[in-house]
Amino acid sequence: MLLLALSCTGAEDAENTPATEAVPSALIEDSWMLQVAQPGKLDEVLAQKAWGEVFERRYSGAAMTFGTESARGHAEAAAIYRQAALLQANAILSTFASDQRRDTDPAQVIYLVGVASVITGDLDTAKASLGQGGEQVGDADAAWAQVLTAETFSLRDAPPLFSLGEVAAGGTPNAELDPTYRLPEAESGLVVEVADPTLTLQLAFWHEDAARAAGGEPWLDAWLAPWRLPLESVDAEATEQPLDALFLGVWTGTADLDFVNALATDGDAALDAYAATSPYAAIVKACAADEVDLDCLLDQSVALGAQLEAAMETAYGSQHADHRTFASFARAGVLRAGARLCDARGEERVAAILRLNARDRGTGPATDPKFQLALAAWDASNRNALRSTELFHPNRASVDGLDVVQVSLDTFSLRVGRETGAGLPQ
Amino acid sequence: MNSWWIRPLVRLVAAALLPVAVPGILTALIWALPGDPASIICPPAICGGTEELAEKWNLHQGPWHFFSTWMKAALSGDLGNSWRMQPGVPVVELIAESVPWTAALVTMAFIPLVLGATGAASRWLSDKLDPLIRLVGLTPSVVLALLAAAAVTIHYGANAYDDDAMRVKILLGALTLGLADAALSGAVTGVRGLMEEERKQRYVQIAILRGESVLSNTLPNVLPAIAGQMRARLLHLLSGAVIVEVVIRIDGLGDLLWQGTLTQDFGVVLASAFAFAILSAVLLLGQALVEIGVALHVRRSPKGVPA
Amino acid sequence: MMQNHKLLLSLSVVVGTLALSTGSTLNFYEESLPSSMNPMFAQSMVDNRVHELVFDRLYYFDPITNELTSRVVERWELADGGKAVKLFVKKGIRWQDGEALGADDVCFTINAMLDEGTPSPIAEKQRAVFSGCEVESKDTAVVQFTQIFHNPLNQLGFYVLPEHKFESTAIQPDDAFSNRPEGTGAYSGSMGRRGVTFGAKKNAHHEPRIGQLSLQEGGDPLVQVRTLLNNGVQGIVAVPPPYRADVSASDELSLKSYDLRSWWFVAVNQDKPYLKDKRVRQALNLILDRTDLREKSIGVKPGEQNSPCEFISGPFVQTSPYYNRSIDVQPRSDLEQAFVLLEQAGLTQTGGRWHYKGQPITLRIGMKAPLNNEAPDLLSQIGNQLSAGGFDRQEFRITVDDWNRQVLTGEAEDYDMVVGKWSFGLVEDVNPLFHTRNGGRGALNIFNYTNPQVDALLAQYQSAKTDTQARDAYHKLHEKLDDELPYLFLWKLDTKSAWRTEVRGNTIAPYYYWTAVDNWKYSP
Repeated sequence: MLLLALSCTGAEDAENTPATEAVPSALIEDSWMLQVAQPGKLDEVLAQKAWGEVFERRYSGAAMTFGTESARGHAEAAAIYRQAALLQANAILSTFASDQRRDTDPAQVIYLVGVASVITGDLDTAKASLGQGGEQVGDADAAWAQVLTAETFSLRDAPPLFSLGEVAAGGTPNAELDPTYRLPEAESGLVVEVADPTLTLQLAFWHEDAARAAGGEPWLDAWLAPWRLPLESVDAEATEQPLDALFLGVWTGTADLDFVNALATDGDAALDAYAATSPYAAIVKACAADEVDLDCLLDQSVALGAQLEAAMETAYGSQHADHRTFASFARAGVLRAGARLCDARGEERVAAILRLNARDRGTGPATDPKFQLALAAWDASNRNALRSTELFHPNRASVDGLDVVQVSLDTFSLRVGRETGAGLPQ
Repeated sequence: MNSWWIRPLVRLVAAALLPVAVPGILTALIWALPGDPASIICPPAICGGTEELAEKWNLHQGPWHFFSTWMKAALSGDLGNSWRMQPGVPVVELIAESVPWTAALVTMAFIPLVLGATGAASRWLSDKLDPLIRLVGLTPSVVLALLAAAAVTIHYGANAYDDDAMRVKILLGALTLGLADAALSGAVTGVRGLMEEERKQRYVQIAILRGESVLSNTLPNVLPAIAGQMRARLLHLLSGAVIVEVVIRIDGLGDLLWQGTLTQDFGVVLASAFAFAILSAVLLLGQALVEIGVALHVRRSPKGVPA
Repeated sequence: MMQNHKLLLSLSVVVGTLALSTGSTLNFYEESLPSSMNPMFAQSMVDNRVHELVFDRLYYFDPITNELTSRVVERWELADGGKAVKLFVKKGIRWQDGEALGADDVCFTINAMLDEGTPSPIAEKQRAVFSGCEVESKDTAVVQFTQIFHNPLNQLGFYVLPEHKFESTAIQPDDAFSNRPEGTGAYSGSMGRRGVTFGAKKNAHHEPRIGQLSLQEGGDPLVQVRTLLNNGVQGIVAVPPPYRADVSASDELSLKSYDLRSWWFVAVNQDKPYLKDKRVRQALNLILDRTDLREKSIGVKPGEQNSPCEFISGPFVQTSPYYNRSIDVQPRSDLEQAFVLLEQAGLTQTGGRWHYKGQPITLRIGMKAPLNNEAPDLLSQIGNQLSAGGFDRQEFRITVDDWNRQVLTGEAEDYDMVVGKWSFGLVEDVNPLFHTRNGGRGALNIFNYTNPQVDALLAQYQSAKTDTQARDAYHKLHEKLDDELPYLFLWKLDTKSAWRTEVRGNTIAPYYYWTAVDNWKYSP
């Protein structure tokens, strides 16, 4: 009893602290959080069972359950497979790129280096690496080399090495495909398992097409823009995002998404353009006038979360268990928007710090697999095997068939771990 | 023949022997444990050079060599280094850090006992309060100490070892020691019992008839017994201090002894036990001096009741 | 006169503020107190984290960008055809006692690791990497390797020790240095009886912004979290899963990821006659209901997606390339099958209790005490399940000191089983855990497990020239250990820290934690 009595004082003090308004209330009025906070609205939305799967981050299942009713499941899958392909590609490059390759590595890994280079946007290395043939990879290698000879190349020109079946809204691609090559290793006589990232790329395109078939036009391009691969265009027309594109997502509204897309194309100019309409833009502008003030962004992300919770409570009429969960999306979203600004400014380190903080803020249902895979991909490009595998693992079931990424991650992790020097368990 | 000197002599001899006997017994215990002392302290799997360690700690030539070397060093103020708790740190440093806390704790705990004893002796503390004091004394010190520890931990958290928190801990610890386990009630009822018995003596009644004060007549006679009781109370407090220091986490001598025992740090255990032995010896010495003083006073003041 | 008073007042405010900000103490709870502040004798992750504050590693990976970098080496050159590197130590770096850091310290550290008189398992491992070190000049050291490494700087992740603090290169664990170390790190450390205090030490290569850190041993996790909420402490390094929701629910606290590969186990003492037969161990494995254990001690409900606690079937986490994914985990108990195995092994059941050669079996199970904070009551739950399986049991909490002295050194023969946890970074070398204990190998073999086939697989791993060979060896090891069961493998548990939001810039480095502590700020 004494313990409880003494422990209660802290909590009481916290409750009496008034919430601070992070942004003018008008900016969050149309947010999806407030939309679903209206009495009865959430029940109406959740009548569609697929949202349960979105909540659990099971997007292949969600796509099937949505069917033709919503493109959201397919859109998420399209984004996730893109980041997975990037993760796979960076893992391959960190293992088999010319400065890391070992004499005992199978010669055919040069093909993987080529495909990985395409995915990461390095066409020069890709062209130099592809077209060398080799057992098991010969046909695929020739197909890739062929498409790269064209005058202009778009990722969509990637050779369809794997037959995924017909695109259908609410459908699933062929699940029986095995993109793994078992290449003989020099000296040891053992087999090195490597996975072709072409399959992951194809899956991304399959789901994008399925999203369009499921009614994803006209919002899909803007929605997918932040997740495009280096060789894809990020130019997307600002388009009104419907509730099913925003719900349980990190952008509170269309303006946030448009702001983030504009950062990629217009840089700092996006701050002024969207500060009056996007809560994220308003906060990022206030905290990043000249230099990015990390503490300001962190504080304001908490303040925005609190503001949203208070607004939801007002809209609903009382507190509800979901309000804090929904507000968590915004807590992470502010930081991710800040990271995008840093990307535009070339401040890679600060962007990474913001993303790592966003990783911690977006917990439970606010965990965003495509974001975590994007962070894992960046880590893999920096040869950070520990964090990239830790980021990938909990998200491997978010869509079907991500085990192929594990193959590349294993090889990468093995390479980095064995060259790290002596260590003891503790 | 008047043998008043026997008791104080025994006490003086005990006071002289105690600081030697305690380390001696502990040394015998170390050697009585199964295995090689150096290996117990530092297993060969961790300490490859156990033979060198044994030589460094004087464990290589048997218990007498170890004991005599240790005593010689201790008498010149060198208590060696900690072996396990804080390897390499001089034990004198650890004891010097610990003694003030124990001294403060025990002194503050002793104050209510002295007040209680004085009140009981002079009768300003009514015997009607005895049942209440006894009731409080029924509480085990462990229980009060646990409550105190919980209160401090939750209030101060990681600052529980800052000066403010330590002062609060000493206060709470002193209250615990002084009230619980019949410490105060024992002092009050013990002294009251002594004094009441003494008051019943004829000489006291005659002294009252003569207009003399009761205390001035009875005190010389009961003082040795009271001194004995107070010494016992102090020893009770010292042994209780070990529990209180461990539970409330006061960095005193008792806690040092406890930690040393848990980690089998014989360097610390020997030195702390030696320190406690010296404290006990000082108390014995004090009691002996009181007895001698009283006896001499009685001899010089023939109007006092013969012993 | 008035102006002088105003000036004095302003100055005193400024000085006071400065004193406050530099004198602020950041308090945090750790799993336990460190056993040694000498990096040669690290025996736990607590030790590793403390060393990261007090010492510098020669090279380290930036926790954000993973760039391999050094705070103490200015530049380097390849030498001796790739079998050595020449390091140019930065000038101006001082040890915490004021002495200058130099090449002699680098070589001293390597020579100490190579010295057979240094009884350190960490040093033992490094002997396979380094063959020597030469001091070419005050600031130039040539580090020699036993072989050519592809990325040689990756081998230089050890902590540099001060030559002037030791009498010889044979460093002993009982040296006063273990409690009063001298490093070149951002903080000086001093271990007391209750905790460790760290004082900021500005240096040519460190500029910590928090004046003092104070490490305390965390006790009851409820008390820890309540104390954190009340600002009695500012951080908890490892928050047990049942309390993470409380942390997430508060805007004053933030839950932060601490990337670490940790897995839990129950080691089985095969020297006990009734545990020698592997069918008995397999039966014990089937008696354990991991789903139930996880629910009751960690709070993860059955079927919960994305739980922080993932079952394993071997000595690696599932994210590891060494994990053999063809070996299934055992999430639920199978008492029927367990009883069949026990009977086949010759045990008999009388009055519902298992007997060996007519004697009832009482299993003595110990658990490393601090683990009870992360998984409350796990020991009792395991005991309950074994009891339900027909075994009497006695449960013991093993202090950290006893764990290091007895359990890790193979001296815990009184126990039948012990529950523990191993943590790894990028290097997942499990050879010390399972190799027969001899000549420095098997240094962490808890119950002196010995199996020639396992030794052969571990030797294959050790001598592997390619990644695939190493992986192949460990995949086979996983398969073998799943059959032999010197350990009953439980789970991997994610680690999360909790910090108050007044602590800023607190990037937590994978495995090492405090690598970026210079950037941490605390404004109470």
